[in-house]
Amino acid sequence: MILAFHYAAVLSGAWYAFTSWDGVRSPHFVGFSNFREIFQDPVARAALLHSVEITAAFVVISNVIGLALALALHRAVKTRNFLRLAFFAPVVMSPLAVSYIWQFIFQYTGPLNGLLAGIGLGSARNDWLADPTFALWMVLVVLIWQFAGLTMTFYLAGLQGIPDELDEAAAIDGASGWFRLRKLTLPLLAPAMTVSMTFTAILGLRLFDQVIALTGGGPGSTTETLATRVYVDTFVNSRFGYGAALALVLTALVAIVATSQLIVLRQRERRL
Amino acid sequence: MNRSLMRKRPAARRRIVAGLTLSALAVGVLFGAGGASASAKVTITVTDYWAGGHGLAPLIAEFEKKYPNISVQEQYVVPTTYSPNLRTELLAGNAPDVFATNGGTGQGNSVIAIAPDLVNLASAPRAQTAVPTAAHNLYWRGNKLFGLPLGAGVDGIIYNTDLFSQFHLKVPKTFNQLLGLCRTIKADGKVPMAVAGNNATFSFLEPAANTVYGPQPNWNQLRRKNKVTFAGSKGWRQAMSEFQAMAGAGCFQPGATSAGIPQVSSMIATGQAVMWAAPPVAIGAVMAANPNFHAAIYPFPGPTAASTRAIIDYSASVSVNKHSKHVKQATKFAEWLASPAIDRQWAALNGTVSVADNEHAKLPSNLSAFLPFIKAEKTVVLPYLTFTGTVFNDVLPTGLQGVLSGATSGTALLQQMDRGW
Repeated sequence: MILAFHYAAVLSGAWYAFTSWDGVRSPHFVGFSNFREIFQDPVARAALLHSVEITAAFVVISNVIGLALALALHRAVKTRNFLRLAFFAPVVMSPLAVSYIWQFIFQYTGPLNGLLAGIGLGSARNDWLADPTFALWMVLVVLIWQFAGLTMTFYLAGLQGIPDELDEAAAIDGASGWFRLRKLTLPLLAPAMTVSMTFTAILGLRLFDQVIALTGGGPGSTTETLATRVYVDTFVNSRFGYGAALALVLTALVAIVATSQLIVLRQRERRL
Repeated sequence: MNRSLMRKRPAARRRIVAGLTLSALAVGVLFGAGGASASAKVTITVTDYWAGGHGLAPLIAEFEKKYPNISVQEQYVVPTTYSPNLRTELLAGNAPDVFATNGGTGQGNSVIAIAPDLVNLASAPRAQTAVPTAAHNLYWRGNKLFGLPLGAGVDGIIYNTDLFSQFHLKVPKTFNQLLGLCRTIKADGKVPMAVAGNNATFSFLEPAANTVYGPQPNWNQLRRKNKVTFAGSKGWRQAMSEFQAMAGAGCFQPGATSAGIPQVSSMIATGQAVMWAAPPVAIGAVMAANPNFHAAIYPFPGPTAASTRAIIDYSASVSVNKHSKHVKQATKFAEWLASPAIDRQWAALNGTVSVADNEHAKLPSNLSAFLPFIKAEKTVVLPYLTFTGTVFNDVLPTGLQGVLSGATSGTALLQQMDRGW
């Protein structure tokens, strides 16, 4: 009964993916034609590619930064509690609110361009969110800014579980800091890494709020993601069946990526 | 009742009290289930995006005075989320009794698109005269009427009359004169024409009124029959060139590509920008920020003075929810709102002209530039109202931003418009 309650909405949504429905008149069954359209439509294909690109970059960069922050703040630094709080604070903020603030920062007359002009780099000023070369990466910057603190927390929790004596013993035996990090700390952080990378992969693939607030998917669909296409096609274009099909593709993608990642990383954990 | 029984048998007393209570409840339910009696007050809900967010309070007060048994609760929703909100509410079954709609098929809240959820207003007292002939197919389907138009805006370029006087500027009659005006205003240190890069549709559709719909008023019908295409149409290619020429001539503000409507509205309200290609309801939003703002509108000039057309905007309308619990009262409000005298007040709140005044060419002085075109019948009904597919809501906003940023070429956007039709 719990499973039915949990998945009933998902299953009914999945059924609509095989229909053509404008949300007003009755849906009619169209088989796989929505899915064929997804893989033939250049905008939907581009959205899929952007989702994958931004997720890959987000997973790598946010985990590297999070790990670096965790290692730095795991030491006995006087202000470490304050710093941990400062880095974690953006995680609990509303993604929309964060994105609107960054939109102001990135706009042509905003503080970023003002700063560049102020330090003599006026020629580098740009319409960051409207430049097709930079727009998607500006979204990535906001995403990393907001969630690096989350990955830091995962790694801090992992570091807490590593006995200090191991590191001390290795140091006494003459192992360098870099060696201890590679051969001791990172292997023992494997479980935390599994959780963090899986979580950030799911976050990246589901990306919606930041894109809608920062760029709306533009300029010229260069920042569209699968999640934003689901919203636009369903609620703006009133193509509920097609939107449901996009949502199903997104769900399948998240499930495949998350499961594969878990399997690979768990196997790695066991080897280590 | 036997007093000794009441005293000696508490259980019996409880049963009697319970019975009386239940009887009272049953009577109340019976009366309630039958609907409001003639004298009971009914509250209807209205959702709209009009009057720059200030609402229809003066009109509602007048209505409630005339019909004391009907109370009206209004809710304002920002235009950008209005259509998705309304669609969701209609699907969920909790849509308001009366709501703002658009004529035609081109938008999420267009009456023809959501007709199954709307009351047929064909039996309304003014049904046969409420919709101008030019807008007939925007609101009627066969012998059914799904919305009552409110206001008949004239779309063109809104301009700050104080700044025009200050800098001795003249309304351009041709497109080349418009480009020259941009250069003059820019030299005076102002932004000639503010544009919201993520919503630049009017800056492209207004030139198209001259280059496409002037020569071929039935272009949309031809497109439905696949006899023409956007990419293959000389008129559309010319409209795209004009849009790009305005960008190239410095008509738009720096950073226009990522600008949104609130920023543009602010630039106009504060006098940083002189002109704005937008529907007249935008004046309401600017005046909400700056009550001392003085505006007029002129038709977007064509390649030649003779090719210029005035766009008449019959988009705003009011409709009644078919699933409302108070259809009668809701219909009464909608019909009252669309009546000539009240429509005039509605138009004043929204910076536009009533349907009747437009038909009789009775325009206020700030819209006088349109009079010659209305009298000569050189007018075009707002084109996107009968667009289909995803062209207006999806392809154009992001596509035009792509053209401004260089991510998309004009030709590629026209091809996307064909795919999205």
